[in-house]
Amino acid sequence: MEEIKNNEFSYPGLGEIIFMKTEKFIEDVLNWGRSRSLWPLTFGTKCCAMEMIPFGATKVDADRTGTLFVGDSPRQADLILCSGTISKKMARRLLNAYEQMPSPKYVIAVGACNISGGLFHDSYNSIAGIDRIMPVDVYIPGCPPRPEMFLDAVLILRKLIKENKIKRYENGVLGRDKS
Amino acid sequence: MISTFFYNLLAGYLPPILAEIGSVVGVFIVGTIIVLNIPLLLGWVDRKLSGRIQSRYGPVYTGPFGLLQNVADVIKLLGKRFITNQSIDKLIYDFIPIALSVLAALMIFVIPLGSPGLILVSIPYNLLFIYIFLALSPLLVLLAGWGQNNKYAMLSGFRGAAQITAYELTLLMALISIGILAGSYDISSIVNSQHTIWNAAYLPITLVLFVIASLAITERAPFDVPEASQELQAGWKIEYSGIRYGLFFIAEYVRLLVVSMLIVYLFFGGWNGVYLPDYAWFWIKTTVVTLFMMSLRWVYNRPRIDQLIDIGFKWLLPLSVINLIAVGFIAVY
Amino acid sequence: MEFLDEIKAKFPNVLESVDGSNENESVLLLKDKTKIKRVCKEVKNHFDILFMLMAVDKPPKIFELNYVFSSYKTQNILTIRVNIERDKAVIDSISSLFESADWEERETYDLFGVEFIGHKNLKRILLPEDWPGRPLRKDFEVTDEVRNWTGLDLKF
Repeated sequence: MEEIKNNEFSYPGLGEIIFMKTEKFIEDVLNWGRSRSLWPLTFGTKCCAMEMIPFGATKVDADRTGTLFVGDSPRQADLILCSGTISKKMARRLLNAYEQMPSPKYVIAVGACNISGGLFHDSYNSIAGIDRIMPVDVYIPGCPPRPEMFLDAVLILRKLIKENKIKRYENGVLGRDKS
Repeated sequence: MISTFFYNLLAGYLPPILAEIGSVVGVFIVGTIIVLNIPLLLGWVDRKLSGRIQSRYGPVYTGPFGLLQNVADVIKLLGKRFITNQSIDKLIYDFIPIALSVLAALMIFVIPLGSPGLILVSIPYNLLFIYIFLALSPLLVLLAGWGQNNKYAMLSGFRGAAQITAYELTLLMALISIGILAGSYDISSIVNSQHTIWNAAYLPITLVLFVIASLAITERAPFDVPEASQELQAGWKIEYSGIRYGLFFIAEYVRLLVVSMLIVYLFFGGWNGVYLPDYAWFWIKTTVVTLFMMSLRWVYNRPRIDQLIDIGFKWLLPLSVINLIAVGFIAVY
Repeated sequence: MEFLDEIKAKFPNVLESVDGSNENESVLLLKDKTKIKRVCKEVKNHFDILFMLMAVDKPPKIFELNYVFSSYKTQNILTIRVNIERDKAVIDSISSLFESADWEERETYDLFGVEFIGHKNLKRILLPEDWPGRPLRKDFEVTDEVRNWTGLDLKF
């Protein structure tokens, strides 16, 4: 009898509603801040890294969207801009750098080699897509992509953060900020 | 004086002891609000100015003219996870950001904010107090490098401490020469002594020494050797994440503002001026000086660490001593 | 070609010239692989650096090692060619004579599995330590297992 009683649908009380609303509000505010201030860690290998430089420079100007290249350690980054072929030896270093970042953290995969292996998809020594080793939020195709596409990716990521559609939340690898 | 204002406000309703306590609390709240707003505003100015110098826009989309960009940064930093290694010295690691930002905040409490009465806590010799708060930082930088238990942070801490130690002697010499000339270490009387002629016209060498030394001890570019972001990774802040890292921004920008205010007070006549009220004159001058100090970052390139120490010890310090002796002669005769 | 005659005179029966070698780029075939260190010691009198160490896989039996030496002064190039068995790919290290041989030998060990005796730090240089197989051998196949190997303990 007890169990049945517990399973019965009941309307939430006023306290619960206030609690839920407050939680929602705090989450919205946090997501607003997170989406507007994405400090990238530039994990640039190969030619895509050359395109990453104009992303922060005059013409494209990443700083407009709050993407500030603080040039600092993974501890202060929110976003890892991962580009180029990731060899199997590099994969561990990449994952190491990724694990150093405090959550919430986002991943943007840059370039064909990074998304799927590209030219080297059949190689014995390259990872065919970094989504095999870490959850990727946004992919930037191209070989190499234009700097404007980086800006587009950041805008898409902003949208995803606002709608709570980040990979980390979806696949439940590490749960909600408990890693 | 703001504490007296609070006391008089409360003394009508409360017994004197409670009014005293209330005035302390009021001063604390006002000062904290001022200190917390400085990095938000100055950070925005810094980013916009750097953008304009590099023919970019800087932050645009967050709020009007990107004004809320730094608010978003703070919210994000508040929402981030703290990563603390197991090997760190927990006490020192947690203590350093708080200590640095509190030391920076204390400078705002004892410096006049634009007119002789507009000061949070009135103490005699407040110039020396401000110098002490500025000069305590190499110890904290060393401790920060130590507390993180990271070899790169430790090396960077050494670099930072070496740099600040090399330049704060020069700063002290410049302050002493001003103090000798004015006959006091109180900022108000130093400003009053410049009623006829600014110290900038009178002591140009001291001004140059002071600007260089103050840039170096606030670790602003071109003297940001300990955390040269194009060469190193984050310097002695390498392990800090979340709002602990944000506290360093408070320290950085408040120190920048205080140094600019000091330059105005000591060399450009403080609130002396005609037609406009005194605080208006002071804040106009401070804005100009702050923008100048910020734009130096994008104009000059960074010296190496050995060049930096060389400049400090071999050129600026002897020059400042000679300058001090010369000023002494001027003051006596 | 004085140096060639000098080197050959020291080791009369084990070294012989290979056809097609010209004045500046001569190739010597070393028949006895145990003498490689002594030959290289002699070569060191005439040449400054080992600038390349190539291995060629000739499937049934042989690995062909080519030690390419060069001289700064005369700009001569000398290749010493050694054939070793595929099953028992072992040869003396010359890293104590030529510093640059250190990494070259590690690379050859990494990709072909040739072992160099006397090398101080013989471990993989390009691939991860625990990578399975020797990829540049002709009998190596890129299977799905190899392609998907990451060496990481991932749980998702």
